[in-house]
Amino acid sequence: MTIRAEPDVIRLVGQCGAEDAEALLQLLLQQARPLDLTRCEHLHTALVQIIWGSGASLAPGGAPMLPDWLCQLLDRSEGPPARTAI
Amino acid sequence: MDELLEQFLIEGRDLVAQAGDDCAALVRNGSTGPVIDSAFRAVHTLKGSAAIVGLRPMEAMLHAAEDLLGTARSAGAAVDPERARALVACIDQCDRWMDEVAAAGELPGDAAAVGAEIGARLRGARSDAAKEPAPSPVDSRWATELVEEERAAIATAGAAGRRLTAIRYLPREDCFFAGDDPLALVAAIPQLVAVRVEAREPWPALEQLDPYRCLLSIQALSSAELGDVSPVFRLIPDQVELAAVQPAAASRGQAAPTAVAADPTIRVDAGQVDRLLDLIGELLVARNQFGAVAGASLDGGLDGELRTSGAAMDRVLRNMHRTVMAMRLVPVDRVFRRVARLVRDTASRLGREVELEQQGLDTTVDKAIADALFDPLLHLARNALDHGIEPPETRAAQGKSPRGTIRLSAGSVGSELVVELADDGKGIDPAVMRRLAVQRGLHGAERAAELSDEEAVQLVFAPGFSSAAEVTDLSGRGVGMDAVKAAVERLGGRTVLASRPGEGTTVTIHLPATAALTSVLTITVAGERFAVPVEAVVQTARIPAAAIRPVGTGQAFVLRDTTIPLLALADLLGLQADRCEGDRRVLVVGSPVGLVGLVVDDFSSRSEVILRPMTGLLSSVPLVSGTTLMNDGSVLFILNLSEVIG
Amino acid sequence: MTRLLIVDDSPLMRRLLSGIFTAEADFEVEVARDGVEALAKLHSFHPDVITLDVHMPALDGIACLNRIMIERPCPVVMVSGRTAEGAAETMTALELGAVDFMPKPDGAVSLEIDALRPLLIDKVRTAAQARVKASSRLAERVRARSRGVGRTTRRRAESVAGAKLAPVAASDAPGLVLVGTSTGGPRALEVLLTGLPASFPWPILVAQHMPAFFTSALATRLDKLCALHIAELSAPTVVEAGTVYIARGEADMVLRRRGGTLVASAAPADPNYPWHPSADRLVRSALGVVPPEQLVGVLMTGMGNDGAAAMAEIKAGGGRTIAESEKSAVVWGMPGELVKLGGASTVAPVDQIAGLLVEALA
Repeated sequence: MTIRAEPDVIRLVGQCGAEDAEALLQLLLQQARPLDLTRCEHLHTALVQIIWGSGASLAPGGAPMLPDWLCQLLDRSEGPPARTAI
Repeated sequence: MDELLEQFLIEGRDLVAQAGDDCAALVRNGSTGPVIDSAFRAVHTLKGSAAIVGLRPMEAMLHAAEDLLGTARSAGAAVDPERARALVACIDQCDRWMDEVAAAGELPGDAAAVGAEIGARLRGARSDAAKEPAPSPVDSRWATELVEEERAAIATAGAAGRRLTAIRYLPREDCFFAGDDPLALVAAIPQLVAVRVEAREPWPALEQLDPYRCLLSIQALSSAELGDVSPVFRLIPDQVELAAVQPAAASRGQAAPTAVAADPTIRVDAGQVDRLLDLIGELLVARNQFGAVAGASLDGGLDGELRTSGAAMDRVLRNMHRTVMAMRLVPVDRVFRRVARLVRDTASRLGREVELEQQGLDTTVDKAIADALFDPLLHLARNALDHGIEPPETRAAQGKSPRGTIRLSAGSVGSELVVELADDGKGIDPAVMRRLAVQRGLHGAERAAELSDEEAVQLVFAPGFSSAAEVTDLSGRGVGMDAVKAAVERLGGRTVLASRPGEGTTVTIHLPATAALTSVLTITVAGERFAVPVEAVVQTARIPAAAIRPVGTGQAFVLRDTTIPLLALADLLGLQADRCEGDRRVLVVGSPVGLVGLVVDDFSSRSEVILRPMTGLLSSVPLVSGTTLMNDGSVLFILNLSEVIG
Repeated sequence: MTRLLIVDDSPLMRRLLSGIFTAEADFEVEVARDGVEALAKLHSFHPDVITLDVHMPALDGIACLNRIMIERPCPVVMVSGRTAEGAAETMTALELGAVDFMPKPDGAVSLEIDALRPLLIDKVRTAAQARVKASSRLAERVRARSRGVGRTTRRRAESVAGAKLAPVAASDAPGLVLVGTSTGGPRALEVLLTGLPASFPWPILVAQHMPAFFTSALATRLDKLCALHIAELSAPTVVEAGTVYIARGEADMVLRRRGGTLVASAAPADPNYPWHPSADRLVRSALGVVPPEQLVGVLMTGMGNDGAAAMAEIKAGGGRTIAESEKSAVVWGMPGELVKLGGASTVAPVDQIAGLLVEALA
């Protein structure tokens, strides 16, 4: 599984595609938790939209395998508009 | 060039001409009915073809034209003049693009933008107001504004004063369903300077969020050239606008690149290329094996990923294989030159006057094939001179020009290389061949009489038949035709001979364009697996036991009005097989005496394998032409069917 | 050897298709450039299966299909454009007796074709084996012509003989009927759905394997014929009784619970499932939010095994499933697999399934 629910964090691991959107949405609806992206290698736009909608924060460690600009866009409590410099 | 692309360029020209005429008629007199029908069909087919060869911007533009014509067609209405002019522009653009594709093999870098503009003209005037009008691509004020607003980011990136490419990307709401991942596309933009993501509507609460509707609008700046950015969006030209922006501050003169025109070729040792090809072959085998293992894995999640990455690997491998194969290509010219020299020498020695015509000298062929072609061509040329072309006085007496002609030509036909050697000599007399067939015990008198002229002439290929001295003298074809045929077969090709008494003989050699990959059919005989080259198999069939009849001491069956002798392959290979009672599985193969059916236990679908020639002790086993490593790692013998039957 | 006749007016398309099939050892391929030539070859070449382009000069695909079905009935796979118009024509073709269809390769086909190849070959191989039922042809053709008569043409559910489905207790909360089908599905769906009354108590969710574009044409056509409301599912929707939701082509349908309601939504095709819309994914997602006793799975004609594994879970969990019987299925792949897995509560020919559902849920 690319999405793992743990008591105090939701962990996204590896290549997270659009097919994971349903599961992520359900987990965030059940209980808002920080997201651990330290081992996430790819994050589909559909998942980014859900994260914005949930207002979930990123767990410590950030998202080292995602592009910097995407990390900056993600690490904010509200949804877009968002902008970033490279 | 890609074979499909070539065909597209031929077919496309006709369609463009047809659509052009029709659209011009629409502009002139606002026709309806048959003209619109005809234009619709031409545009529809052209669009489909553009899609097949992957010319996405052309397809998208033609799609708009097809929609327009389709609407007019079902409404029975005329196309208004403005839209009709857009149609003409669209067809003209297709014509220009086809020129570019013919020259460069692909569409120019601005194709997406140009196509989108024409597409907007085709769509823009459409009556259905439901669609919001596409923003005019000429208006690039947004780009200048974007550069203005992102000045800080540009400075940070050290791109101040440089030419930039501005990207405005409005993903379709349902783009996730098409497999698009907008942010991943943004990540693929080279030399990103800044990214802005905006919501197209107030962001919904999580409970209301449709996770599969894309709500984003994206703008970005890159310091790469527009031509380097546009390929990222080549599949979605309708959702993106690109603009090149030259900041006003840019006063620094761009130094023109001072490229030195260098020879684009390097010399590589042929052995190294062969080694590379071997390695790719190993890789292909490993990949097949990997596929088999992946297929056996029952883990659904893993399986999907494996399949995707396997497909990507396949593409790269095929590309690599094609590229290396292309490296091995040499012009057939170098073989022909050697043959020409020999023809001149031999002609003067024999006192024949011969004109040598050569065609298709720039046809390229795999080096291995070029080298292996020399001997058969030498045989054929020698035969033509020795036994085909008559002495000048004989020719004159028959009303022929005293100078004989030998024509040597090469060309590609589909995926085949065709090499032909033709002479205008005395040809082969079928009557003589029939008589000799009886004398040499090949056929009974009755059967020989039944042979058509064409069949009789083919007897020169029968092993040993043509080596007899009297044949040489009487038939005009001499030594070694069976050797020629065998040599060509070793290359996976076939030899066709046509001859008319008094008019000459033409021998045509058909060869596969590539030699290294062989298509084989895997068969099971007496419980053992073998492979047979697909070229050797005319067809596979299941024959009910009831349809098999005894003929003499053997068996035969009827396939589409032809009686075909049936042999057990196990017997021919000297293997012990159980007699089966039910349906027989039969390979129908060609042989010197016509079609033959070979009974096997089973056959599976074909696969591409690397044929390894036999080495060592095994190389003296004539029934087997080589070995191959199969997907599961086992080694199969590839049967040489003509030896097996002979 | 399977004799395949490829009918297409585009030389490029003919070449592409014949290239794909001649590479298979078991196909013998001939081509025809238009409908007239196709009819000539129908009688000289005696094809086992035909691929037929919809748009052609001289005699168009639909007219040609009509003639084939009269002169020498034979399995036909339509090749149609991915446009709304192409989809509507395809639905007409399926009614006229075409066994299946494939969308014209679209987009960068030079890249996609390797992925498409096995699919095309599978489709044509399956079609070649399909039974073209001589008896029903005339009636169906007459019915196809009398379109527009609308809801009044609704057939009454056949009375059920033999096959039985345990009735649902009236006290149970309302559940869902989940239908999966593939090759031959559009006609099977017509038989099933026209047999159900407008008062049918449970919502019905359908996964019919199809490319995008075609499902909306299918829904539109079925809606004209049935007492129930039939709609393609595009946006997230609260499911309600009285409606049949057809999953959007080339995508999947999934269910989730929002508050007290069940919401169905379209989801991008999950690459972990080979066919789409995926019956397995639909059923699994339903099992996640609805107890199995409140589900009825119906698996009808189609090649492959989609839906069988997940529907077997319905039965194992105490729910009900119906597999279409081999007798009526064009291709007894998916329902056959369900039977093989021991996952079918009952097996019935397609014209009795509506009756079984009505009896069990009434």
